[in-house]
Amino acid sequence: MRRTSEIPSESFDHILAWLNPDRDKAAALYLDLRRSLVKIFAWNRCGDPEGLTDETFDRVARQVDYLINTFEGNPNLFFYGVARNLIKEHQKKAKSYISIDDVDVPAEAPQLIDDEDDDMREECLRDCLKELTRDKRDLILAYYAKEKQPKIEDRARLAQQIGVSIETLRVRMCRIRASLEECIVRRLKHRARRNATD
Amino acid sequence: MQRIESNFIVKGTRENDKMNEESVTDTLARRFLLGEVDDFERKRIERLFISEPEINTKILLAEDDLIEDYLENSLTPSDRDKFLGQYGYTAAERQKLRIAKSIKEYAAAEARLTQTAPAIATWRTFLASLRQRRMLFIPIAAVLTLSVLLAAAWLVQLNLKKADENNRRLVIERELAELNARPGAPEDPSRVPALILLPISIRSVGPQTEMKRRADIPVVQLDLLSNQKDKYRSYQAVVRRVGTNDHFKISGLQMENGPKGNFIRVKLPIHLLQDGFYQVVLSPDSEPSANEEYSFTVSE
Repeated sequence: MRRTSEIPSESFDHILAWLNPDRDKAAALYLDLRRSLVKIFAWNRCGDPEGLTDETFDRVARQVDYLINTFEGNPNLFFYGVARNLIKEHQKKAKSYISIDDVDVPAEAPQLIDDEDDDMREECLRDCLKELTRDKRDLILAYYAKEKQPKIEDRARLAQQIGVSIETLRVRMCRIRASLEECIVRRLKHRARRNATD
Repeated sequence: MQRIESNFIVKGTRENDKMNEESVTDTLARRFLLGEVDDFERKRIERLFISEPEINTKILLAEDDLIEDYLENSLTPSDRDKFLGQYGYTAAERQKLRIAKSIKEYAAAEARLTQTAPAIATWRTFLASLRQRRMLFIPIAAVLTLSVLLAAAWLVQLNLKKADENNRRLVIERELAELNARPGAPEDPSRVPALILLPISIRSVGPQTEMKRRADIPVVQLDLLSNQKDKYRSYQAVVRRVGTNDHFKISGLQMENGPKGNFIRVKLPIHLLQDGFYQVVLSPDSEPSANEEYSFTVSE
């Protein structure tokens, strides 16, 4: 089930401070950690990775004051530990549903997400591309323009053009695509909510 | 105060993770993403994923490759099933797949558009370069604008000249039509002198018939003797000053019979005649090809 994070702003500040004393660096680390947790929940077939990520942060927020003073090591690993517990809980819950109802309940799948149409998605994609800088937009469109063998040759040429290695280009594209994907998901959710209230 | 160690929660030490870091190869990352590793290996890779930026990047890149392979239909049937087992399981993952597909399709469509419209792109580049070089753009634009204005003015002038010429010709032809509309009795020779012309085809070699212009004689008459046996309802005469474009056409002329035989009378206002050599082509209105030619000169 989708849920909204209930972290009080003070606790959120403490989480950031725990991740890194520099607030800008902490904000970047927070976003990376959040994306990683969403991925881990998805890889473990949890129906609502975003919601479970919120829940992870909520649980950590409740003990962050204590953790700042006592925990040693990479804070991300503590978050991972909490996420693992949630995955276990989620899997137990799914199993118990199967045994009771004798039906296949994979996860909480928000229907709205499956209901979006191609036009709406493309509109959101266009809007999100406009939010990128021109360089980034041109780069990502050039990067994904071809398939198979022409794709490999094209990307090598692209890397040469901008003076980076293919690996660096791949990393850069991975980040741009991730932010583009997040923008599209955000816009689609916003539209779905608006449609639901209309 | 009791210290909480990260390995207390997630099991396994960070030293062990460091040791195992090297073992996360591209192949292993791909197997992990397809759900082919056991639970222990899965947790080890997840821990590295969340705590080691390099491993994180490596796995994300492997995932990008895997998604692209799926969208390009490059996975083996077995890998495709495993992929869908992982990435088609939740609505959120399915949505991300659709978004990745949309991005690729959009990029491919944009590339096709650019390829099919190279001329447009070239023009855009050209115009963009002109915009960037305003110093060059402004004089070129000024010259182009001036050229267009001059061409337009020339066209207007040309049309006005043509219209004037047409009007002048219409006035002359109306005057000629009125002058020649009334055959009837011969004019007084002192007022309208007649010039008898033989067709060139039968004229003997001799001096050219000459007409002197005089200020007191407003009209001259040409008697065009005809040798044709057939008689037509009406005739037309085209009078042309040789070496110029000046020519007048008089239609509706009638064949008359005189002491020297059949002839066509053509009256011309003297103000239309200038010094020079004139040619007259006479033909039936209904059969312009059956013509006879005459000539004369005009002088002061």
